[in-house]
Amino acid sequence: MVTEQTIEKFSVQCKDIFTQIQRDVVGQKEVVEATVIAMIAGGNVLLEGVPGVGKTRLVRTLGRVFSMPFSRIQFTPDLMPADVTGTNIIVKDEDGNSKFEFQPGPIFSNIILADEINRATPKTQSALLEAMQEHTVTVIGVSRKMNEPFFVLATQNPIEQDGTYPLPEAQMDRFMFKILVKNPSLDELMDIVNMTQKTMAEVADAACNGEDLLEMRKTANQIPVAEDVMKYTMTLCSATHPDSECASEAAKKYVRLGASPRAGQALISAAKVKALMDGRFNVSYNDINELAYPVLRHRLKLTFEAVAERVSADDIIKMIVAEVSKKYKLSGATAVETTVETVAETEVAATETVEETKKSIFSKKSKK
Amino acid sequence: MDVKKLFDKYYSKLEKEAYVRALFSGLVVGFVVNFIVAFVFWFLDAEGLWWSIGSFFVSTASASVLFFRYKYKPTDKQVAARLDRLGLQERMITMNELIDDDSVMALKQREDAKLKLNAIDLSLLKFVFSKAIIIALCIVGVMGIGMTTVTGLSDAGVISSGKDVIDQIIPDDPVVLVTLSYVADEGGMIEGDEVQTLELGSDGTDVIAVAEDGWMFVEWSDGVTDPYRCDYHVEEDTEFIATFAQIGDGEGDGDGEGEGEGESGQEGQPGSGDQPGKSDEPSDKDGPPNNGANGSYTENNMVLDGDTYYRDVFEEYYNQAMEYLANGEDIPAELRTLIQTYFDVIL
Repeated sequence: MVTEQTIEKFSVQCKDIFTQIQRDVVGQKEVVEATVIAMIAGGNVLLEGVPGVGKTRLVRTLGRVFSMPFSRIQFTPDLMPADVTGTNIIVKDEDGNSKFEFQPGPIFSNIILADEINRATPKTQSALLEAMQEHTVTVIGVSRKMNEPFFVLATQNPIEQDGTYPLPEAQMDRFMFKILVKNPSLDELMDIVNMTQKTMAEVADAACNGEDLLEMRKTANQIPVAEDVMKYTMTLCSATHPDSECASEAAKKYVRLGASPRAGQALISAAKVKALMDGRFNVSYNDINELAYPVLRHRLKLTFEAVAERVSADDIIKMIVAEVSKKYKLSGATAVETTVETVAETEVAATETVEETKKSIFSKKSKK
Repeated sequence: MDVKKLFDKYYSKLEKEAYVRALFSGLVVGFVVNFIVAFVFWFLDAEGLWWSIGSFFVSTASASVLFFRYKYKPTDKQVAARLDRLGLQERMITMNELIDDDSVMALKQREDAKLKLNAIDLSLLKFVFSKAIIIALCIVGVMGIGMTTVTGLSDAGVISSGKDVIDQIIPDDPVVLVTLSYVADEGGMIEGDEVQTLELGSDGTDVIAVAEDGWMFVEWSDGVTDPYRCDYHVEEDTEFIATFAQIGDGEGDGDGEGEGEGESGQEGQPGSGDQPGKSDEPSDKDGPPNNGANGSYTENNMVLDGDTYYRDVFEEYYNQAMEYLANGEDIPAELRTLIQTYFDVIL
């Protein structure tokens, strides 16, 4: 049941979460925000970036901030599915009789860090499929439920291709977001170096626990989505399919396989969280447009033409968003929006939104 | 909560915009109708200036009303969407949808939406008009006014009508004429137009081959034995020669009753040619002259009033009588008397 208190609590907890994360992770505002959104919405996240940009640190920090059991699985080519899921081992009972007993693997935790997930073989990667979607693990015919909340936060390196196994589409589709972790800016780099010179220790404290997270998810789930916004979202997803009736020109040219229905679900779930985090009680077109990139970029299978012309998935999403926005006559709204936000600022000042809190936190960091 | 009340000032502004948009659309329709009407009247060379102007006003007014009613009149949803475009981030359309929802989230959403709405200055809500409709209005406006002016000038006789212009530009198809000639051979004459110049395929006028005294009509050159003729659908130059024969020269048509005096033979046998004299004189005793039955138009046959050929009258009454008999009816007494009187006269 959503009450005034739960809504208030959501706002306070979001503020705490960002504050605590920022103690250990410098910069990467969009990455942190997207990851938190995905976790509140109940989705798995694939973090892609070159080594050393803080992917693993971020996931570790999240584990601490959310105060939940955390497992790290380092994916290697010789990792076996049983190493992930666990297996039955022979144990002796009190009477000295041998029997099989299930020894849970590292996946039986709340937050799973699947580090360098693309280094494991497809067989081992697939061991995660059931856990990521159904939140259950089946070992030798017995299904076991995972602890809730359950997240897989995977990392992968886009540069090194030797000895890696690209994730199959089915696996990709189970990640709510694929977030690109970029190199830090110069200021951020200086902050990182300054911070780590003092101590390498991670200092973030817990801001909430698993139950709080589930409650936040329930609260966010109540955010209403206007019919037009819902229709726009579905049109956007459908426009990624080159064969669909509302296929965009970009999709026809550059996309071989479009986004699955999971993309639509992910977009709406994530947009609700984003709206509430921004202090709104409804989903906007902008929420959908912004989240289209992390939700869709790993779900598009590009054509050879796109590869040959070096058109990235993000470029294609940008074209599709522009095309669908034009169809819905949304262009031109952004310019006015800034003006109105300024006008409305004095009114909104009384109600401190999570967005403003985040802004103040990040700006303080930047000034330092 | 009454959304309309909340949107009132915005609704009223958008309603004004809708009026103007409906008027623009109505004007486009009006000018198109105006152009068509003016063009038709100009083309048909009819006086259509006032029709054209009247049609413009009527169609503009009716189209504007229909456009406003069915297309441009703003709905709550449209007003909400327009307000959201001012940066309200879909707060208004969501509020509009949740209007009957009393959940905590809906109430919070409503409060948030109202708060943001209050920060919106009405002046930010600008009138929006489609460039396409303005361009279309300019084009059809020029066309409509131009055509109306042309029609007005055409009505006043200052410029040619469309029909005239077309006639000047495109000449008529050349008319193919044919000649229909009727020539009377010796012993007769043609009454009616002897030489008729006709358009190809048209009909000629009536002619009659009239024999002179002492002559009788035999036939036309195409074998027609009726001196009266009218030719239809004449497709080529044609000449018909009426042939006459001298009475008593053995060229009788054989239809003679053969009751004439003299040697002309019985039952229409051609006369010997030696004594034609009497046969052309009516005889009280011996019946009509030899040429009587074939109805030649001679003075001898002007038996009723000295001016009318008996055959013209006789045939009409005869046909009437035959018609009665064919229908199984009796010949009316009046007609019977008339025929009887006629025969009394000629016999």
